[in-house]
Amino acid sequence: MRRDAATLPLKRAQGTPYIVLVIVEPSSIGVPYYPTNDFGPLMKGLVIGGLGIFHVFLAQFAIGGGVLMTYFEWLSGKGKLASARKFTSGYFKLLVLVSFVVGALTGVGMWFTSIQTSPRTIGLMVDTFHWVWATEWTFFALEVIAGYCFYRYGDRLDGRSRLFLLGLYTTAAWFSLFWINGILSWQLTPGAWLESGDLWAGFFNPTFWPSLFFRTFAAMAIAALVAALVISASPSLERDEQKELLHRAAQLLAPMALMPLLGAWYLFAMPKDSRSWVLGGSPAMSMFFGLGAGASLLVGLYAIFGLLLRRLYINSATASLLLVLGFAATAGGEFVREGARKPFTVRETLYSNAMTPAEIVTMREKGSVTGDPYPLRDAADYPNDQVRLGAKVYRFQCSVCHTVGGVNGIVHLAGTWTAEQTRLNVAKLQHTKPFMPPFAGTPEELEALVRFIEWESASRPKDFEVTSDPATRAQIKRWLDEAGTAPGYTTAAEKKR
Amino acid sequence: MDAPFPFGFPGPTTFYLVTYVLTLVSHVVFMNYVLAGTAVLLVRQIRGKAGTSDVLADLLRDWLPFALSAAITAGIAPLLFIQILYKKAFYTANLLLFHRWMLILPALIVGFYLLYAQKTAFVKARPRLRVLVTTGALATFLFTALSWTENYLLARNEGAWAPMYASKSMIYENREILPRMLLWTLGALPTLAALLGWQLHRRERAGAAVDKATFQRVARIGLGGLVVAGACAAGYAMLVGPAARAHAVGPMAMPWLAAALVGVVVEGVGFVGLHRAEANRGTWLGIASAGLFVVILGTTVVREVLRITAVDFAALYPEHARAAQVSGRWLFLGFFLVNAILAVWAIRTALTRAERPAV
Ligand code: HEC
Ligand code: HEM
Repeated sequence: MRRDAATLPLKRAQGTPYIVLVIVEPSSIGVPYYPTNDFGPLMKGLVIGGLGIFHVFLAQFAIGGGVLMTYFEWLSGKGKLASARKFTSGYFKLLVLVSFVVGALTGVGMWFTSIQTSPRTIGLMVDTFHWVWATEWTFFALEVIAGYCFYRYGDRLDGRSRLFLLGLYTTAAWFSLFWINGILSWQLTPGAWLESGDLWAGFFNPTFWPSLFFRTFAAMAIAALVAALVISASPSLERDEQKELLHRAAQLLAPMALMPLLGAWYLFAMPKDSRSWVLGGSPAMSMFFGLGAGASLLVGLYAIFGLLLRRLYINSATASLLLVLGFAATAGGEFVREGARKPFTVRETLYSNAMTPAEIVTMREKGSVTGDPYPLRDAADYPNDQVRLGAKVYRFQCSVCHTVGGVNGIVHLAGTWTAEQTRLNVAKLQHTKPFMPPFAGTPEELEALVRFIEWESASRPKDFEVTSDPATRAQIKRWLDEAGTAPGYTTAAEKKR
Repeated sequence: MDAPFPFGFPGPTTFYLVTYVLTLVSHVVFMNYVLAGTAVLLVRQIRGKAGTSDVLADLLRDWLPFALSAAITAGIAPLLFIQILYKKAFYTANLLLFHRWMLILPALIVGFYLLYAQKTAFVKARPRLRVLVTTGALATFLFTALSWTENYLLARNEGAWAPMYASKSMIYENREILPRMLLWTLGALPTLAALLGWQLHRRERAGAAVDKATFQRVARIGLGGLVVAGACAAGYAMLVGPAARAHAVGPMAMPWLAAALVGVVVEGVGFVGLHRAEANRGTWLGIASAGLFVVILGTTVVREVLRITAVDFAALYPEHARAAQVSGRWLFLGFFLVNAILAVWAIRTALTRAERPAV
């Protein structure tokens, strides 16, 4: 995106160089308000996260499966793996049936779930990277075509043609990963794009390479584990053939030995605050990180010592177990990737609750929901207009990450606090927890939000007092001013200076 | 906006509109094969006699899974560009129809596997089950079509958004939805006929015997489809109200509407020729396909004009202009060409190198 006046970086007053806040989409239509769906006790992030993990697992299987089949085909062409053909047809049918179908569709599903969680984020990603995405699409189409040709005609083709189709399929599949990886890693570390707006600076960003390698190796590992399952469960193969195939498949697990290194590189390339959430700052994040790292370590150790060095035979139960561990590792990794971006969906550009840093400044003056055209659902259930206003503020600013009484429920978190305590903590939200965005409304809106939380914590009484103390409002205003509108993690950096 | 589409818009807007329409056309072609193909397969399975072979049903069973893959893949491209053209409206309709979009995914997965199941010996051997399986697949595709139609109509009507949100309704109530979906489904028949015609023609040229009656059946599907879809379109035009009708014959859409009507005639001529032909079927299929292409392109443009004139389109120009500033289109074009060549190469390899199965 080329810079024009409207997208000039907004330097903080003192010109502190370590944070540049960018205004994106200074939309001609103002802040775009979208209807917000309520998932009850389930957080939106969980919904998209669940599908995302599933999709990533299948998509990586599609890529790694291609690598494995190409490798086997090549070995068979060299006369080094006689039983390869027996195995590849069956394996490829599985690949097509599972990963082509469900993988492709969950990919489309990702669009729709991403729109559900944050339309503005996906909108910004499409605006910035639509040609990269369109390029990715040409590779995806090639993958489908080459794969389908192999699926339909592979059995009747000579070795060279088979190798050509498989190689094409695999290359295309891997390039899909290549392009998408640039877009996804840009969200966490937009790098020099923030200053120059240069597409390629954003694409080849600091976490691009570690995550590309990481995902490639993960793809190979998943495919090898699926292969192990197919091989050990395949009745048409002799025991010797099985052992031979297993040993070859396990070679694809060998690069996993580099994963700890890549993981460290990835962590190192992350913004410092994100790294600290992962390494202990946020218990949930650390747990998932541990899950991912632990599961891949187990798989890796088994692969290297058992399958490669000692050439152990592996039965289908063990293969299934390893596959489950592989899935757990994927889940952990994806959760960390999604979570580490907080409080942003696109670092320093768009907050998780779909506001830009610049808009927060305006909303402190003009209010955050003044222009929201969507009424509350069940507006009559609320006791008064103040609580209704609070519910709208909650919906707009907090509901992406919180629920009222379920997962990460605001009532559980703040229900026991005194009014004063809640006011202070919300006014200085980005300092309360640096993975939350700054509060983006007027003192009136903040007081209304506090009353909404209190009303919910009191189990929604019919009558509820309206507060309007000018002194309280002045106090809130002071706190808001003290908190400023910069993200919370900058304070720590400032203290250090 | 008094010039024929796509003129009269700022450059970036024209650019994205054209790209969008062209990519949508390719989605429509494959989607038509899936929608009409599954319906035709169902009818043939219900009416077919046990033990007799049915070339069309075999062909459909064989190719429908791939066609669905292609329809989905081709659908992703317009999905990308629509987000640039009508970002807020598209997202809003998506959010309001949330349940629908979450259901589409499992529905299409089920539809996919049902199509694959058609190929298994287990299902083939059981006529009742076969009908059930096809009915299930058709239901998932109709549901998908319904959802797209509903989404399109809802996105176009900003006034309906807030009330629908407040009402918690999962369904957008609009009397245009069902007739419109019917129009799409019937309109898919001629496309299916043309594609089936080419598939049979290719078989024949490869040396397999295809009897004349089969080609005639295909031609009748095409002609019948033109007639029923035409009638349905006329009915739909009565339904949409005077304003939309005026835009459909207004300066922006008129040339395209006229082209589509000419296309219908050409297509009809092609199918009649195919019905009568003893030889040279390729020529008649070529004529029908040329007409078909113009019809699909023309109606897709008219469809777009009706949306452009229903929303505050000029307000979206700045967003198109901003999107047009990002780089990467040459990257896309380059890889589009390279990958298209590779895809053709792959297909050629498969078709020319494979030993023919003993049919
Ligand atoms: C980017 C996501 C995100 C947004 C947006 C967000 N929060 Fe949070 N919030 C969190 C997370 C994560 C926690 C940590 C929960 C934990 O520690 O278990 C949290 C914790 C809290 C806590 C408890 C803090 C403590 O120290 O115990 C409160 C109160 C809170 N949030 C209020 C809000 C309010 C009010 C809003 C809207 C104005 C909001 N949050 C918006 C993610 C978010
Ligand atoms: C069998 C499956 C499908 C069927 C039967 C189908 C059918 C349709 C129909 C009938 C329309 C026109 C709606 C209208 O104008 O009223 C449409 C539009 C569209 N479809 Fe599909 N579709 C299918 C799958 C998909 C998939 C999987 C995608 C995405 C990847 C997709 C992307 C689109 C897009 C982007 C449009 C244009 C929407 C608009 O302009 O508002 N379709 N589809």
